[in-house]
Amino acid sequence: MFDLINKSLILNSNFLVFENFTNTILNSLYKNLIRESRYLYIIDGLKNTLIITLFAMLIGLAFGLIFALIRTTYENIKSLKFLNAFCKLYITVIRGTPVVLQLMILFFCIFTQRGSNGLFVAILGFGINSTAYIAEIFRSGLMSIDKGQMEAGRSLGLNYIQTMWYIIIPQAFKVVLPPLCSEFIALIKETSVAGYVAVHDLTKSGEIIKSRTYDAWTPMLIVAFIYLSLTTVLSHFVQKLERRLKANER
Amino acid sequence: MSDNSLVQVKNLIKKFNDISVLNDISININKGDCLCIVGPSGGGKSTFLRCLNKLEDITSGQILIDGIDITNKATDINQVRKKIGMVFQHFNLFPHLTIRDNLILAPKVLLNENKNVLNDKAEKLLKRVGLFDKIDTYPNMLSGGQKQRVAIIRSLMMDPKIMLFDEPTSALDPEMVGEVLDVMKELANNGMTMVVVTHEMAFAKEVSNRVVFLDAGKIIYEASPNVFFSSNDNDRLKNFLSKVL
Repeated sequence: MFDLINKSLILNSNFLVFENFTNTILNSLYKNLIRESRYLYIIDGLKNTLIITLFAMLIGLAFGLIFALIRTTYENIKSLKFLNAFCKLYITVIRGTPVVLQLMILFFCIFTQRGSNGLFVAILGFGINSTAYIAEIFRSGLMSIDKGQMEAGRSLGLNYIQTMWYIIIPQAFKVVLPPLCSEFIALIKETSVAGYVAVHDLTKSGEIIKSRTYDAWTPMLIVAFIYLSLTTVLSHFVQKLERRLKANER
Repeated sequence: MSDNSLVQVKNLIKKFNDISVLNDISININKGDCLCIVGPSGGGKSTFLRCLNKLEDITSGQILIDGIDITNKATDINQVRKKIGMVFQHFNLFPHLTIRDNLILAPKVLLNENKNVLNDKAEKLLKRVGLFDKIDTYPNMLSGGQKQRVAIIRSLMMDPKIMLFDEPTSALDPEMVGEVLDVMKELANNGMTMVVVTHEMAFAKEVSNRVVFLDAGKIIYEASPNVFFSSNDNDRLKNFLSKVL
């Protein structure tokens, strides 16, 4: 695309430069998106990226909370020793190895039957991965609540689980909400490696279009623009949320 | 032991990693007693109080609350704690709940009582301590003294048989101490059994019927307030009193 622009800049007189420039852009957009309905690749890819992110996040939230509760329970009252050891090992291993590698192990070593659904493997893989990170977010949130809160609850006669449920978790939730949203935003971008396990995600769709049109610039920039829009809109909401949480505090 | 006895502590020893904090404490607390525990910091006063509702596990000895041995592993401590109110130095109100919900939460979960009944109870208690207008605000809207008054009636919501106070006025601005002590005084006058760890000697003198001097993990001296504050026969106590009075 830029080659064409260069050529047009050199070949044409000033009067024609602008017209040619717009024409070239429109042309490459047409070629990369409209011809043979190529925009459908992008839409499909975006859909898969969002599906993977959303479901992986849900898995991460559910198991992350459980893992964090196990870890804090061990730190608070020294029970659940073996579960705690397992969680610790899990978090160490998952956070200490690249997510692409984890996906590839899942896809090429574990789900080896033909017709294994790449999308399912990707959701599972990113779910397993974000569980480890979200567990640590939840744990730091739970541990950040003043010890007196637990003592106040227990001294009233509430048991450990009741105190956690009614007193500690609601307070911790407020603390972890902003980092959880950041984790979600990070996850959107991380899923761009899903192409490694034959998933047609947003990044992969750019690659597919490139291989059809032999034009790399246009599809890559389009894909980048879509990621950027998603993350900017989301971080805008996170900032708003943080401001509202702060306003409630004092 | 008499029928009147509510708390019996026998040979209580508490160690934190080999460091002895409470050293062979035995004491009987009767119904209606207002027992003040005074002494230098680090002497084990707070630890002793926290042992009474098992916020601290004891190393050896026996504690009976209303006849129930809380040092026995088979005892459900949560059942016993329902009967023991506790007020902390730093109030420990629940910041995410309104004052109303702070009061209602524990009885709603633990006692089979109708929500309207609990609501009425909460309103009545708030009126008693003059904070009814704060019922739907959050704890961060209250001053320290107001918070502590709410913390006291939060414990009262469970209809405890005994109230433990862990330096309830130590974190307060001086002008707010009085309002909290007034609530405690009213409680004591109504016959509530109370154990109060405090530095407020005036309160101990005026309200309590027994004063205990705890130092280096031991009960050094125990007497009625008149005798306690005029006693001359114990050097350590005399030394302590000369510093705080």
